[in-house]
Amino acid sequence: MEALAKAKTFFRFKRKYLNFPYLVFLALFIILPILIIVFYAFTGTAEDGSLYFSFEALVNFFTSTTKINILVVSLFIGILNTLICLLIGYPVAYLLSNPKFNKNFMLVMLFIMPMWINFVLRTGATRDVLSWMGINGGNHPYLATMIGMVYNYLPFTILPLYTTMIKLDRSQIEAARDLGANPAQTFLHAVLPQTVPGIVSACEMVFMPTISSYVISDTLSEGKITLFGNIIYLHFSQSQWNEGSFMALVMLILVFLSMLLSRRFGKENANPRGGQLW
Amino acid sequence: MKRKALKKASLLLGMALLSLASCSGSAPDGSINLRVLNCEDYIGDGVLEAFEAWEKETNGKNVKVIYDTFDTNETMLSSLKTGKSTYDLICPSDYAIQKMMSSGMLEPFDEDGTPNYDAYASPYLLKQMELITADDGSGEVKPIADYSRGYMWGTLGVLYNPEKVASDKSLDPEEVKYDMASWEALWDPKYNLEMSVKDSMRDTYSVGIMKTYGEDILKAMEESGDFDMETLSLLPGHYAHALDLDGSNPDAYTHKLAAIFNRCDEPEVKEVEQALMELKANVFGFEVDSGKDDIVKGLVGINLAWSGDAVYSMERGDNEGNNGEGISIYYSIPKTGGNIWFDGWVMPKSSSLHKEEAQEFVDFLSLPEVAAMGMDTIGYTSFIAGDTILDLIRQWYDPRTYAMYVYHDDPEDWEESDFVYDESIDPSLEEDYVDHGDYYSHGGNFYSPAGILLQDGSGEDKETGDDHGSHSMVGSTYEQAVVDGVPMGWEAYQELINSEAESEDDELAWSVRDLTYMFEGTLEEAPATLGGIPDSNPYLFYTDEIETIASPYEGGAEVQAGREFFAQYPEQDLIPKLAVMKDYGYNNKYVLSMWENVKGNNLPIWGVVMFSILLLALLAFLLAFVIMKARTKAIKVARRKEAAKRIAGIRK
Repeated sequence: MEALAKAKTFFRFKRKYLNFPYLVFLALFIILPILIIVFYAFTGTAEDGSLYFSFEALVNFFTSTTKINILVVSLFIGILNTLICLLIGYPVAYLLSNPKFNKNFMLVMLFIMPMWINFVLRTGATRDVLSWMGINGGNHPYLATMIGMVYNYLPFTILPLYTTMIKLDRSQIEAARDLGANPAQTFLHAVLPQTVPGIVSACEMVFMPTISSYVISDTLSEGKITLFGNIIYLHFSQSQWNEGSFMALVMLILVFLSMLLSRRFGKENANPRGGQLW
Repeated sequence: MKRKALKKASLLLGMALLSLASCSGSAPDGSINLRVLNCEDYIGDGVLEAFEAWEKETNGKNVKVIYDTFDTNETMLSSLKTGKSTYDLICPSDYAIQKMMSSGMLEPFDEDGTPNYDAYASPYLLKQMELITADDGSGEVKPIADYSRGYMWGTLGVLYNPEKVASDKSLDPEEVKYDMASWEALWDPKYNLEMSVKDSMRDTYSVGIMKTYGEDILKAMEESGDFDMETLSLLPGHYAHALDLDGSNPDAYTHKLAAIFNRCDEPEVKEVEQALMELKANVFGFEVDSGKDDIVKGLVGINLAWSGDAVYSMERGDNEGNNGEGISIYYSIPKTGGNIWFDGWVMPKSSSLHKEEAQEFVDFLSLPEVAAMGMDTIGYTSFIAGDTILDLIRQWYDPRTYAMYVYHDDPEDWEESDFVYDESIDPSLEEDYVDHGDYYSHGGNFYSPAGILLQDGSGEDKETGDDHGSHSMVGSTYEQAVVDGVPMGWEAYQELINSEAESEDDELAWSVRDLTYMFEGTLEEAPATLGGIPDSNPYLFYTDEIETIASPYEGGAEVQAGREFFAQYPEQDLIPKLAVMKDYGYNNKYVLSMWENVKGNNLPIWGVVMFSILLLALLAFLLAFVIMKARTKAIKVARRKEAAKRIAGIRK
């Protein structure tokens, strides 16, 4: 009798059981693939196709000047792209969030709209426009790539910044002004700290995708600039799964590190009103 | 250059098969599913339906084709690697066939499984497939011809727009045409930022080989004694010796070339890497499929292209280039030779393989009529020869066709002529025209039902026109010109026209092309004594697209520049100079690392060091910032605690 009651309570529907499908999804599509990547990253493929434990891929990666070169260039393009996007996106988001300049949501929509169109198509069009302007991958591969990158990732910067900025505590700004702060001081001490969560989210959404993207650099630099994503793809397409997986792992670790770092920042400056966005 | 509207196929049987397909309706139960995996855009319009109808007609089977596509050999191979094959037929490239065969994945074709293929495939291409061998997984080395049947083939060459390059670089167009007959030109700083090359490891590597080992190739040519070392063309009568079709000459030039062309040991790859690094500095960019449009748009002037893409670009250039005015794009296989490739059908081993139907499908594709439909849609050149293909090429490229059917004194007028389209001849054609409107573009390239007008239903040649310039051509055939009722040879016809020409532009400049390698033994009747002119020898063709370019430099020999016909069917003299690039096997990793180095070294080493230092500084700064913050926070917390303690003490 007692056992039956126990079983009954055990099988009784609880709210936490609703998590179950998500757990299955998590295990199948996130945890398992990562484990497979790790497995391939630390194995080598013998002539007959069998796998054995080895650090070959690791050694190959860190001894190849080309791979390091590509990684460094990718990181740099990522940082540059993030900075430019912030420089352009921040004022735009500020203006958009200010009801004085933007009376309805339409303007925001206009800025976000490019996200609705497939970015491969957009990049193809960018290539045509740029070559019409005389900039192409042949003569200015870096410039063309950067223009394409900024164009593609700008909406990803504006959107999180905009959402934090509409929740901006305007009374703080007024208070700063009343206390005699000049506009620069007002911005530095009253506006900027409040928008840090937005900046952190914007950085996260731009930096890592830039490094792993390869269509934009491939199309706009005419294949002259190779980013980390390209080289991973090249190895997988040539059936070099071990090296490809190791590089994917390096990328994963980089993402993890950058997340850690930005979370750290976000927490330090967390805005109790706005909170974390992503 | 509006002539290309005349490129039409007389696809009577093809049309008949199509109409058969439309009335067969839905497949009843008990049908077999034939699963086919092919490259994208690589099959003739309506061919699959026609096959289903044909299979029912001839073999009484209900076969349903399930058709899928892949984009590159590499993705196809790795997807097959991960799972069991669910396909009956796949169409990979030469080296991929070799790779699949050596991993024991393939089922051999029956020796008599494809009679049409055996009857109509080009003898030369069959020979090429015999030359590539692999261990089939059982320890026996066999040619890939046992395991595959060829489908399409082509070359890798240089596609260029001489007018654009010349105006960009202020050169003479003739000089550009001359330079493009050499692989060295791609490295020439004269053409800096003017060309795009393939973003494909194997193709660009093959170009690197041709440049790096150019000296060795010249030496091999000289040693073989088959070539005129001044023009690098084949000496008359040396074709068989240089090519070794019957396998009696192991020292033949073609074998030596194949050995050089397939070099891929580590030190050799390193040398090519050096060359490709230099090439990268000189090119506009790397592309895999945008190049064929870029050259038409005028973004690049030179493009490394596969022959089928080249034909596509040349057609588009003629019709659409320069805002519709048309541009003349040329195709060149440099005079030291280059890469020939082919794609073929293979059957992967599996328990559910429909071997019989798969072979029937390949055999159906090998019917010359069906092959013609394929060529018409795709633009690549079929493995298959035979009378229908001969007719097709004659209608596409032969100047005799124009002489017989087109007003040659008024080129603006022929678009309205009977030949191109006249529904009054056969009103039913109007319907076809509507049905196939998609494929018909005025002055455009591919198939249109109007082409049928060349032949009437009985299969006999339609009467040739009677109002062509100042001459009546009634009664003319490919064997004989009949000018104003006077029969004469086509050579005499040229002389006649040239003697009447008012200016040099009106003169005919026909030359003879030899395509014996393609057609030998595949035609229904080939006269016993063929002779040396196309009038009597169907293996020979007249062409007016070949231009002979004199050397702009001191002491150089003249070269030839060609266009579409040249791209689709290289001349026989070129054939021994073409080699297949085999699978690199174990050496693939050297080539891959070479390609990674070529593609990846974005920055010089000092740049990398500088950037690394900057990155590290940034990282250090961020870390310092975080630590500082944490410390100030800790101090604040400590102070607060202290204050709280003090307050508590006071309260006490």
